[in-house]
Amino acid sequence: MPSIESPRSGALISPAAMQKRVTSLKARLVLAALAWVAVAIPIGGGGLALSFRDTLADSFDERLTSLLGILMGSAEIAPSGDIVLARPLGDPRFEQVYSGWYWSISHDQRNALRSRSLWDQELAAQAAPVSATPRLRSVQDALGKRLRVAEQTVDLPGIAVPVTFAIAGDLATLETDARDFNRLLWLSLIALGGGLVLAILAQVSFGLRPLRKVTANIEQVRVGTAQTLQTTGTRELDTLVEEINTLLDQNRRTLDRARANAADLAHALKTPLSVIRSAMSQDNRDDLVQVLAMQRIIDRHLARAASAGPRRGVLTPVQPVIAALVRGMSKIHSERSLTFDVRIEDEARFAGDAEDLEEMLGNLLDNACKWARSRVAVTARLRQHRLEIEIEDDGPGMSREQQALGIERGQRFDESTPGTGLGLAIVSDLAALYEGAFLMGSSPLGGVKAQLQLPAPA
Amino acid sequence: MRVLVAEDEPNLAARIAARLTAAGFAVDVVHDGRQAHFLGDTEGYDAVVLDLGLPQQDGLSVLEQWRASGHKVPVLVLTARSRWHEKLAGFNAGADDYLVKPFEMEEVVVRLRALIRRSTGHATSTLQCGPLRLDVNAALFELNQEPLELTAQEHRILSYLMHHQGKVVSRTELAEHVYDRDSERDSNVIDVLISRIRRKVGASLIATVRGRGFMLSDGAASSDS
Repeated sequence: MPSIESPRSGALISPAAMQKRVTSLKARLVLAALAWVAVAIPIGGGGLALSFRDTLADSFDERLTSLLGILMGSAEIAPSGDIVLARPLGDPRFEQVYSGWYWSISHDQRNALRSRSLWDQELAAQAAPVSATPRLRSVQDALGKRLRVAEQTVDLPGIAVPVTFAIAGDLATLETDARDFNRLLWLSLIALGGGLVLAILAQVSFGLRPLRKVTANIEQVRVGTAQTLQTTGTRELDTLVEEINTLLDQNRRTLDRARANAADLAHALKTPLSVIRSAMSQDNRDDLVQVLAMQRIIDRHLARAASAGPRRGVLTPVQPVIAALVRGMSKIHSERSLTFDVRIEDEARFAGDAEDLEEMLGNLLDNACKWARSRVAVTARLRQHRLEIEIEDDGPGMSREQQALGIERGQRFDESTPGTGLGLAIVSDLAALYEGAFLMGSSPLGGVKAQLQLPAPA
Repeated sequence: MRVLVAEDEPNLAARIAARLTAAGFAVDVVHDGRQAHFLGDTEGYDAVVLDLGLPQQDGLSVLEQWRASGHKVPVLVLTARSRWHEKLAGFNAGADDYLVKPFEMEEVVVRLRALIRRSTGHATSTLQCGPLRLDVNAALFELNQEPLELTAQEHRILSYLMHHQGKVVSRTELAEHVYDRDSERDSNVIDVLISRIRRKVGASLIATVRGRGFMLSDGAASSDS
């Protein structure tokens, strides 16, 4: 899936270190992009600044050269044989004393003419042969100014020795121009970088939107408000979404099939068992005990086989399950005119399968109803992300030994109230399957308090 | 008292029927859901023993259809499925009680007697009418604290009247609830049986309501309900 792969190539941090510190895909993408922006902008900016400085220097030299040309063009030989300037150079800086802009005309190691700005200074002319192009060099004058000098030595008609023309310009002008440009350049680059960061954020956020949708969808499936994931219209993700949907569906169907098989097996085994049992005479106790043992084994193992066990994405509200069970109990135990005292928090939900919750609570409620004198109390609440359900009765209660026996070995406590032990064993099995806890204790009502701690939605 | 037994396993059905007959019930047996539905719809039963795993039409939908069309006959559901989910499904469909296979035959008798008693509006397990007393669980009549000897048919008629005491019961209703499907019904026989019962319990307990039928009452109650 190229669209969500993290581009590591531009990252300054090593990929391993980044994986350790950055866990969000979005953060990884943004960080990687920031890294290359942080590298590319200074390099680009530095290159631009250098090349602009070169251009500035070139144009400065060109200006000096052209001024030199003007100077040479203005020089004339007076009838006295002296060199004179036919017209002054236009730039007033040549008139300001020590302005940094100077010119001079010299021959025979002496200055014939010089700009007013030079005042008492001299432009140290270098002796050089006559040339067709000007020479350029940088010097520092006596006042500490860095100057750029263009000079050319030419033969003038009427003068025996070659004449050297020199023009000097203050390099500070160049520096000021370069500084102004650099300031502007870096300001624009910073603006560009900021813009890029914003664009990257927008791009990452736009690019990852289908992924966010899927994540939200998965959460819905997890908490049970949706059964399947919706496709996003993104090719790379939809393959994944379809794969997950297939798995979810397979999961459901496998469970349904297992349950149907368990139920069929129960039917197939138990009807003949009924026949055997009814054919057995009551005084043949040994055989009857064997049949009862078979029945218990079938029941307990079928209960395990039919249970869904912990699955992600299944949530069961507790209230309707208990309401249905209490309705059933009122019918089963209608002889007893029991009072049901039900207190269930609205948000009490079980992070597991409805049938498994029915199985656990059904056995516990049935047990409580069998023993209760007149009252059965049911409470369900969330406590520290666990679902806590308590079922109490005002019956005779049990000893600790009996409680342990009932849960661990599926034995009957009292032959006159059939099936007690098996039910509790099933509850214990299921609670263990959900990594919950099942405790039996004494109730303030006088009888037994059965307490279940089960997983609740996170 | 007449019951319908709907169970597809013939051996088990026969055993249930035999035990119920021995306990004094008139019993009809069917082996599939469609017959069960039809008979339950057309005949007057005091209770039904219904297996959920019936061929042709499963017990749950038979039960739902009866309840949808207003049949209030008490139904004892037999099921091999011991999970509470299935038991609750049975109760939601309108079952009054359930038994998980395998079960004790005696349990069927006890549960049926309790169901019939409750469905006729009696909360306790002994019914009393003047000097006459019926222990429903044991299915024994006493008259003035002395055990009362009755034939099977007399027993059925008297317990039907006992459950519906204070109400007028017609001859056809009596015949329907006393004989199974295969017996020949002759309402004259009912009159003969009633007069035999009167001889045993005293004529004043059972009144003849002309043109309508019979009514069991302790005499203090009014002649019409």
